[in-house]
Amino acid sequence: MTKLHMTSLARIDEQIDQEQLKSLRRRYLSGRPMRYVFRPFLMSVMLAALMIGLLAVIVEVSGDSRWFRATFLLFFIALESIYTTNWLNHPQQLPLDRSTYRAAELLLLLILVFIASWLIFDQGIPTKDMLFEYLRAPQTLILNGHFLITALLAAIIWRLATQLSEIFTKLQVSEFELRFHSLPLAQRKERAEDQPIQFGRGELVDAFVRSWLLGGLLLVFAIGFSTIDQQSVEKLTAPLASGRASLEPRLLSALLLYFIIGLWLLSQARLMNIHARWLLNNVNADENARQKWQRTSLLILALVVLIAAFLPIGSTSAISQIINVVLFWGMAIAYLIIFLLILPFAMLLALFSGQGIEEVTPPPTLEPTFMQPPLESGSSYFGETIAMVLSSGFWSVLIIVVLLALLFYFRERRLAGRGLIKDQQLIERFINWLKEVWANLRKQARSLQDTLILMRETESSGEENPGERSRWRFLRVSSLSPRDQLRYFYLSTVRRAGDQGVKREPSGTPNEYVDNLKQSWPEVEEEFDDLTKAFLKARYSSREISAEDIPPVKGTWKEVRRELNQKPTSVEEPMEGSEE
Amino acid sequence: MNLIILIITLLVVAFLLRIDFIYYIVYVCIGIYFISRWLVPYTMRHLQGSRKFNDHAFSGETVDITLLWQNTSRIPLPWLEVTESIPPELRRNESAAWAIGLGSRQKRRLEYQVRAGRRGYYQIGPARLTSGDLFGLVQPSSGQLGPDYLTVYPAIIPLVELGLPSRLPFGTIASQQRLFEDPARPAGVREYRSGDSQRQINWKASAHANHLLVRRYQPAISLETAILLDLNQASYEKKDWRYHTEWAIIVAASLAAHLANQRQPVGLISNGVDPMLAAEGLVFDQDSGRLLHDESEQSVISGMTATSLLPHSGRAHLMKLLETLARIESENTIGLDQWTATACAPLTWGVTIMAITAAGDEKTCQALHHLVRSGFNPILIAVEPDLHFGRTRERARQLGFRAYHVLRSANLELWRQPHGSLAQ
Repeated sequence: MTKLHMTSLARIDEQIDQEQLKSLRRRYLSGRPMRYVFRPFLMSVMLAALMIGLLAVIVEVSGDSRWFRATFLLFFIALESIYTTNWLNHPQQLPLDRSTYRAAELLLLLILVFIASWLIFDQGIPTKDMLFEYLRAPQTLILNGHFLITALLAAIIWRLATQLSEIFTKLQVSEFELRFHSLPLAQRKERAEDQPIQFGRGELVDAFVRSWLLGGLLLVFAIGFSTIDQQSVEKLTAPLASGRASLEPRLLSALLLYFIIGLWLLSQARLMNIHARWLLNNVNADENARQKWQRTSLLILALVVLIAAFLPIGSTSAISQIINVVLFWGMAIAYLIIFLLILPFAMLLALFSGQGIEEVTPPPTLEPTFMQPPLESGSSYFGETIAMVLSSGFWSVLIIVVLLALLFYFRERRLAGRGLIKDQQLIERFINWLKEVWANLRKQARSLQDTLILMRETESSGEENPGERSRWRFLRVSSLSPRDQLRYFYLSTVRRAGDQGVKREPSGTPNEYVDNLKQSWPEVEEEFDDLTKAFLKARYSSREISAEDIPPVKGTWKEVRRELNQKPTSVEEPMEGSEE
Repeated sequence: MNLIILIITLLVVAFLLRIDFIYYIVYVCIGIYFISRWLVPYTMRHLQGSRKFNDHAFSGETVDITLLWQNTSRIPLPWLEVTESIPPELRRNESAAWAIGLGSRQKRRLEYQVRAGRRGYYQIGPARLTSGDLFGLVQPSSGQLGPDYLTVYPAIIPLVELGLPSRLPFGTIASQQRLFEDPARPAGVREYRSGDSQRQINWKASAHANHLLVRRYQPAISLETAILLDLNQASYEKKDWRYHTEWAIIVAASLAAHLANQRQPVGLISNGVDPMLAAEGLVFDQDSGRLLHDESEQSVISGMTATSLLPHSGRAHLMKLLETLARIESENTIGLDQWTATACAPLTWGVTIMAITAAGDEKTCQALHHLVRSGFNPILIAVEPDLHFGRTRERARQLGFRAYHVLRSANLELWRQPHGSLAQ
């Protein structure tokens, strides 16, 4: 689809009238300040206003007013999301893998949210012990209430901003449509197959209206909830009759901004929809029609906002009294209907029973019958090592992924070309360095894996664990690197020898151990020496080991393995005669 | 609808939760809704429009059409979409739809052009108007500016290009017959010339001037011509009847224009149908946009008789005649041989009758011969290609009238004969 679009665009590109294209841009496309400054800014403000409602609820529940500081962060996230969506929808970005880019963007935003939440909630500079704890157990850093809720809010506003921006980007006349309609009418008829696909812009406007209205209701309810005076709720049984705290200026501004900006955006959406229709229907629109539209809509909004400010508000106003009366009579009629419906049944029941209704006794409270499983007290050395390995791996992977995301995010935005990162070679060197680091980490991880296997074998030599053994057996040797294969041959030999009773001391070196082996299986003394040398070379030498080095060692290992199936000479069972 | 639901919900929430500020939001929403509902219908009611153009054009001309719009109210109209209906036959490769904004008491002119490619009576418009509010809260308002009509005359070709002699038809008659002058209608005096009758000398004026002056009179009998246009479909070849009937109309128009330029009275009698008179309501063709005869109506005869315009001189009469020729359509009506005598009955004696038909078959020639015997001066003009037209010409000569073969320029290369032979 992408290629098709690009091809069609390129085909049209050859024959378009540049003057006509400019004229169409002027008439049917919003100006740059509107597209790149005002509209994104106002959309972000509107969404941030909506989030203020949610923040107000959180503040009301938690009692921590620092949550309001997150407004700026959420505003920034909305702005970033809108700009990114606009940028991704540009025809030049058609070949870009959007999912990957969005994933990189989200990761960076998540880190930003983490840093921001750290700062917002004054968690200060972490101590050395805290840092060590975070390194050891990264989940303690992430599984943090403040961070998780901020991340959730960030995710909500990011999603809303993306949706909103998508709607407005699609509503706007696309570059492809402009180029196609800059062709003369006769050519357009000839190139019917290149005609842009029509889609329902009206439905997009409806989608915006729906989401705006839902958001507005949510905001109103959230603000309503946040203004409930908790103390009065505790005293009174009717929640609607509870006391009300006064509306904070912050919430008042959020409410006003949300609805005013929403109405203005509604006007913009309508304008874009109509302009797109005019372009597609070859309607000659005035060049200043857009400005007139915007001016008039702003004028009407300002006028209404001004007039509304002079009208009476509150429960004493006429409109409120009318609603009061309507609701009162509505409730009264509803009660009457319910009473009339229930009355015959109640009378019937009274005839049969002749008793009052027993007072309902509250059910006995259930006691929890299960016990919490006791936490494992302390961890073994092995467990700690595993945790350290996992956390190291996690941090390494995280750092690399973040760096890659950062590079991808900014490289695609062509920051390098704009002078923010001037030295391209520096980037390449950095990438190469990252690759090397990654390769080393992998090497170290493999080495560690072997060591761990060995340690585990050593630890659990007395306890047979068939499951673990089978896992070991099913290791695919050919998939390992030549160096690892050599190490595997040696380590498996050590394990088998251990199984036969010739165990390696934890403090023993391979050269010390080989003497024991040779003593136990003298038939394969040379093979043991070769295997040990190969292991030492693989383990400690930095020289490259190629695949050609494997076959002779593998042959040796097979011979040794065959021999190891027999009992060792030194631990052979004593002969019957000798016992006697 | 959505906004109304929001307003009601906000009102209920404001009342139940007792948040006074929500009333303010409600007022704003209500204000926007009512302004949207009121603004556009109000300004649309105060919108005046008109269409200005030259409603008559000759085939091949370009007609400039101007749409004038004025917002007579003080409230600006934020946007107005105007879509003009143009007949397909007149369309050019340009859009006839505009989107404009009209400020307080502002006027706007919208201009476009149509190409009068083919004769006919066309409807220009109606112009559909659409406008709406700026927030999409109410349905768009619509209106329209009624249609106007454009008459495209048939093409007019000089007689020489038609292959006819320029002195036709009056030249030959003038050489054989004197013009009758009416002594009751003096038109002045002139110098005496040799050969003037003595009875024509104005003695009083001569005595006063001291040289001989002769009386001049207005002619009592002018040389009238009636064009008898045969548009009976059955007379023409089935294959190309449209093509040849159109050509017959062009020939008729060209002759009429030529005669009018010579200040000769000219009339038109046709067995075609004028849809303007035949139909009760105007029916325009979907494909071309021309006014066509409604085939469902059985008013052929009335239409036919309605296209009888007796000879008159003057520019106004020519325009009337050309208008009829612009609208007239070929139909299955009545054959020329059956209709000639009736059609020519209102004409005075001595009128030249130029019968334009497909070909001069024997029946047609006999009908024209009857006209000769009735004291008319018929001329046959055949418009369909005919290999044996020489025989027709000879037959006509024997029956006392002349016959011409007038073909379209595309056919003339094959069929044009030397000028002298045509005029024989």
